[in-house]
Amino acid sequence: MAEEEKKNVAVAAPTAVMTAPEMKTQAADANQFRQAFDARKQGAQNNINSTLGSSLNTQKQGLTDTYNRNMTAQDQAMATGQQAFDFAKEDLGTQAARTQRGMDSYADVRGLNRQAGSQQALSLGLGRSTATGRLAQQQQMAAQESQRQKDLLRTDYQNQIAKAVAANDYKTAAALLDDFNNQNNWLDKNAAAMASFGNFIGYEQMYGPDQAAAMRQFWIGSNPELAYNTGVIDQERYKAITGRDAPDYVPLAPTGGGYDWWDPYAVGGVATNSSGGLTGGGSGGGNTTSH
Amino acid sequence: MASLQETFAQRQNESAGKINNLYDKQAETQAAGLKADYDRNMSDVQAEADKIGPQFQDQANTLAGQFERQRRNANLSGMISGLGSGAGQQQQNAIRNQFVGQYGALRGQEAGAINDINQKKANLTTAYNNALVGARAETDAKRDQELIKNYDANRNWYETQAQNATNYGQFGNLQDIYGQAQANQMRNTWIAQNPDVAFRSGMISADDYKKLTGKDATAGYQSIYG
Repeated sequence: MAEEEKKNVAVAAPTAVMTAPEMKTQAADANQFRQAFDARKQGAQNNINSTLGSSLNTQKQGLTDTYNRNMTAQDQAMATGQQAFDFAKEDLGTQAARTQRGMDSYADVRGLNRQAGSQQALSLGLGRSTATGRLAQQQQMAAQESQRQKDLLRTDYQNQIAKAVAANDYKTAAALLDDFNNQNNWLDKNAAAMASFGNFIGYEQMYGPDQAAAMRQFWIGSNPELAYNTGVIDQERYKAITGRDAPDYVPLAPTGGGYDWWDPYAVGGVATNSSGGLTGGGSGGGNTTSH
Repeated sequence: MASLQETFAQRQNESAGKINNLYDKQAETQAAGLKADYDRNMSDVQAEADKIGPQFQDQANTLAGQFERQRRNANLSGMISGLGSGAGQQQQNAIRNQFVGQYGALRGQEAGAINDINQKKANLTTAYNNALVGARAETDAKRDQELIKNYDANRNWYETQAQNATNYGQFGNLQDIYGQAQANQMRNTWIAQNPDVAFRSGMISADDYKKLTGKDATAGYQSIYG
């Protein structure tokens, strides 16, 4: 190559940041990577919500079962208690009637005057009335206490549910925060790993498309042989960057900036593109150099 | 993302939002626990309160029964012993006065018991509100610490990534760390140290390359591939 021609090529090199096919491939790869990353994030979040949601449902069901059991037991205890009071009141009535009859016949036998008999009857009546009133009061208090226990059970149940929901929300929030950090760490780690191989689609997520493109250009400028060998740049770009003709061996991957797989088991060890078709050939195979 | 700064801002906002959410949920969990305790305690006190009325009413009934019996006994014994109406009236008054005094004392005790209960309820409510405020303050203090740590972590991340970008010839992000003049100086120093890569990467023009090296741009090829 003439000196003047080399110079012209060299001057043109800095402006050729990325060819159109490269840009297209880079954009498609970046989009695919972003989608994969988003899907990874979404999957993790779904898993967190599903796992913790299921755990909460189990907890709620357990609390509801316990609540229903306790309420049933309380209702039964209340019914039994009230019945006992009813029986006690009946007994008291029967006993009082018997005592009154006994007293009446005693007064008849002893010939007690009306005033004394009346006083005795009053005393008996007051006593019976007090006992009955006390029993009724105890019954009412027992019913009140039972109702209070039921109210407490209900309030406690609602509070336990609220606590379980709040605790679950807290666990979910903690898991989502952890996941957010994990996803970012994953992106950082993999973006750096990919960049070391000349793939800047991960860095595009972090640094933006302009800076990622400049980084890529830098990497190509630093590793033109590698960039050409791996199909990141074509012969024309290679020549623009290095001022030399590209080697006449077949690159490992198709030119145009793609990141297609190199299939070492393909015929002649040459690269295939993403659709599986042969992209190069020749008896020399992918590893042959002919400077 | 259009730039590292924007990625930093987004991460900072998102992580701060998640931290805020986390501590909001922690506060809600604590509040739910405190409310459960409060409701249970109030229910116990209410049970005590519910007993006061019937308990004192029972005592009042007993007292009234006693009074009625004493009054009738006094009447009866007066009639039997033939006490004059004046003496009988005196005795009745004494019994009534005794009853009124005892009844008043009983109602006083009841009022005292109700006051005690109301005081207990007020204390419980105050303790509950104080516990809520205390828990919230503790949570907010932890939240603030976490937000500060989070900002520092994100800022460190930004600075690490900005430094990392210099490995790929990108010095623009350093402006936020060192200022524009210093960042430009670092970039220029790097280019002066690596003119060939800088030229091939499109960081400098052929003219700049020549200024830096005193050689034609194509000499950059020779230095590596020659």
